[in-house]
Amino acid sequence: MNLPSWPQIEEAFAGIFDRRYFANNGPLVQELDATLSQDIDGLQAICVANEMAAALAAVTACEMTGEVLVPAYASPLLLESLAWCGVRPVLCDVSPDTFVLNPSIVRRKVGSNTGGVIGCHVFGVPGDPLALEALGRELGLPIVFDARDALGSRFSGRSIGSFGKASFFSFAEDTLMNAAEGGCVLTPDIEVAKKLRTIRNFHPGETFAPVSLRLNGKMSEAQAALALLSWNDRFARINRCRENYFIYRDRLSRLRGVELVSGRGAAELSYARVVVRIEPREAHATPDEIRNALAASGVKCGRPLDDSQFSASDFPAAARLRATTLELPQGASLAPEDVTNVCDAFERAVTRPLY
Amino acid sequence: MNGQPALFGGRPLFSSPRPVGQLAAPPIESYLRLLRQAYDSRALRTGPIAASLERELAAFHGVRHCLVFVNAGFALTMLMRHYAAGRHGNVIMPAFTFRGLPHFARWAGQVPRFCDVEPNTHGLDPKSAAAAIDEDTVAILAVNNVHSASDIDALCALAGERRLPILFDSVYALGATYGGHVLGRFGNAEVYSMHATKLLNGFEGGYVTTDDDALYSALRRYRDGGRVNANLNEMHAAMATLCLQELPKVIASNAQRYRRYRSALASVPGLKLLEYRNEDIERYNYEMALLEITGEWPLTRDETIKLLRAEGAIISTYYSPPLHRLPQAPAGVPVPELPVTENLAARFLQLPVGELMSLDDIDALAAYLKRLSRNGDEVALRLREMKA
Repeated sequence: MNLPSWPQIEEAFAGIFDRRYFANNGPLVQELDATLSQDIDGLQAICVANEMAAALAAVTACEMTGEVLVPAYASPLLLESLAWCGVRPVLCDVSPDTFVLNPSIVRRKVGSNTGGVIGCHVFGVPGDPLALEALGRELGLPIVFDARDALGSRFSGRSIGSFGKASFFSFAEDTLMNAAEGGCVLTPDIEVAKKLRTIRNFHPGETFAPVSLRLNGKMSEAQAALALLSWNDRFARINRCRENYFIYRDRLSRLRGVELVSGRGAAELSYARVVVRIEPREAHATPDEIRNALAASGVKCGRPLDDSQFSASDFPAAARLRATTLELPQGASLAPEDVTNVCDAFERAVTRPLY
Repeated sequence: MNGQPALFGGRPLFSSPRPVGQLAAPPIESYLRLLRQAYDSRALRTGPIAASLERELAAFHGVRHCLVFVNAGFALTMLMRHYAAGRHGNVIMPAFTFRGLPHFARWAGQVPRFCDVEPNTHGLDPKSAAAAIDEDTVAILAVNNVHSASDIDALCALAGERRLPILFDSVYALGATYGGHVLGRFGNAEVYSMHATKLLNGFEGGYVTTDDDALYSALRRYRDGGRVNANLNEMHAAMATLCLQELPKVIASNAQRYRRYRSALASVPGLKLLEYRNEDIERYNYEMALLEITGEWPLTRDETIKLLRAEGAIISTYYSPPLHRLPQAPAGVPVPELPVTENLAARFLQLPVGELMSLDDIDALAAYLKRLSRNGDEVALRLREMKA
């Protein structure tokens, strides 16, 4: 787990108690906003209570109304957030090659009531945001990205967060950035940023632009303290995660029908998550069979799109992604030997005859 | 005058800010000890501290169930969404209250329907509410105020009669009683805040209390089912846990501060401290000292606030402007006459309170106000000249 050292935490909280400033856009939240901005291409950074607050704020700040196009595998959290925003999600299938929304798909589904598009960097892998961004400009539609796990990743030399009107991220403890709980919206647009800073609280003094609705989405000083420590320590973690990722890639690329989900060439990953696609006919095993075999070896894996509820027949490409993916253990605290052990077990699971 | 008002260049009364929030905190050693448990088990996002806090809060309020949330706004929105069950209707609420309430109703897909309040309790007026209820009404949202609960009996009777759920925002009435019973059990559910400026400091946070088993189960499934992000993290839960232990002391200090304001301001013409209602029967948390500006006072409320803020008293009006006059009041919705609300919204300001306000500070502030009452006309003249 991505946690700072205990002395660092003690020091941070000593400061908070000393200043007696616990919440309400305190000095640490402000420092976090500024630090992220500075370190991520000068984008505007607005930190909030959690991922849902970030989604609600982003959709509201970008003034999406009516219907919003989303990939069929949009998370339950995103769908519920859209419901709270009063917009109707229109599920779209994704490209069978890239597994993300692309312009031709969007063009087919855009209607007179379309108020925006939400692209997803599924599994934290940048999903061709350039094309969607260009399309948004062309059609005059706001594009927002669900970048939950994509903090720190890049595409075509630009940071995720710089594409479209806004992107929202999670700082929950299972992500690159651990604030225990937390979220953030990044945007290149200063006007959108003003709206976001207004939307995330109710204080008359923190009103920077007219907005349609506001919420209590404030991040506390405690969360910001943890987030700052986590952020300042990220390179060590990213390097460890990259190292792990390369071991996985190296070992698993030797197996038939197994491929790491890693995006197209222009994508630079944060390596926060490791997800593989399994072609059962070539691998001679299904993702569930591999998961069970790994579980028998003490390795815990997940089916990453299990909680999405779209119908497979309506959205075949998304269904294929859901049916063929398996998430493997990853994290800075996972040692190279542990990764090697997972790969050994994985290898046994696919090459061992099942019948 | 003993020195000029700071607004005119004099030395500020307070060398560091005196806010209106409680800002209570345990000793940091206690906090770190509890936080260490969560840290060592690598469970900071969710964990046993929040669960334990729920049990303690339920016991404190004398209710069967408590659920903690990321904040009170999410809790209220989720409650309203639960009762709306997909319908888009309206929610009855008082217009003299926290400006966030109509937003929470909108997040829940409902139109806020503003009603007048009663002059004594400042709570939702049952007659006004009754007149506003129609076939699209999904719920009643009433507020228990710092100095008085609403007329809970009448409001619950109305809700029962019209077969509507009734929710109570008791954010400023934590620990207060109604008919001698501690608040928490009334209506279908009550909502409280654990924001740092409130009586119970959890950094940020909120909770729901209810005796309704079905509501508890449904709300818990909603919170924990993966559709929303609404849990209270362990860092916040730890803070609230420790502050809950200190609550009786915090309330006692608040009462002491309030009584000091009351005696110090008693002799100042033009100012009236809002009384806590029926103190012989009911208990309160005394977390606010609300000052009414009457006709005798030489300055307007805004002028008074401006002067005091320059002195370091970071104060504001109390529930002004009323909700039906705010930009987020939905367009095209007919608003009835709200005379009591309009009247109340013009009258009060919040005096600085909480841990950062000592009894000496209160004396100093009262003395300042006393001077202002004598020299107010000169000050007013100078203020208006400055403006021109």
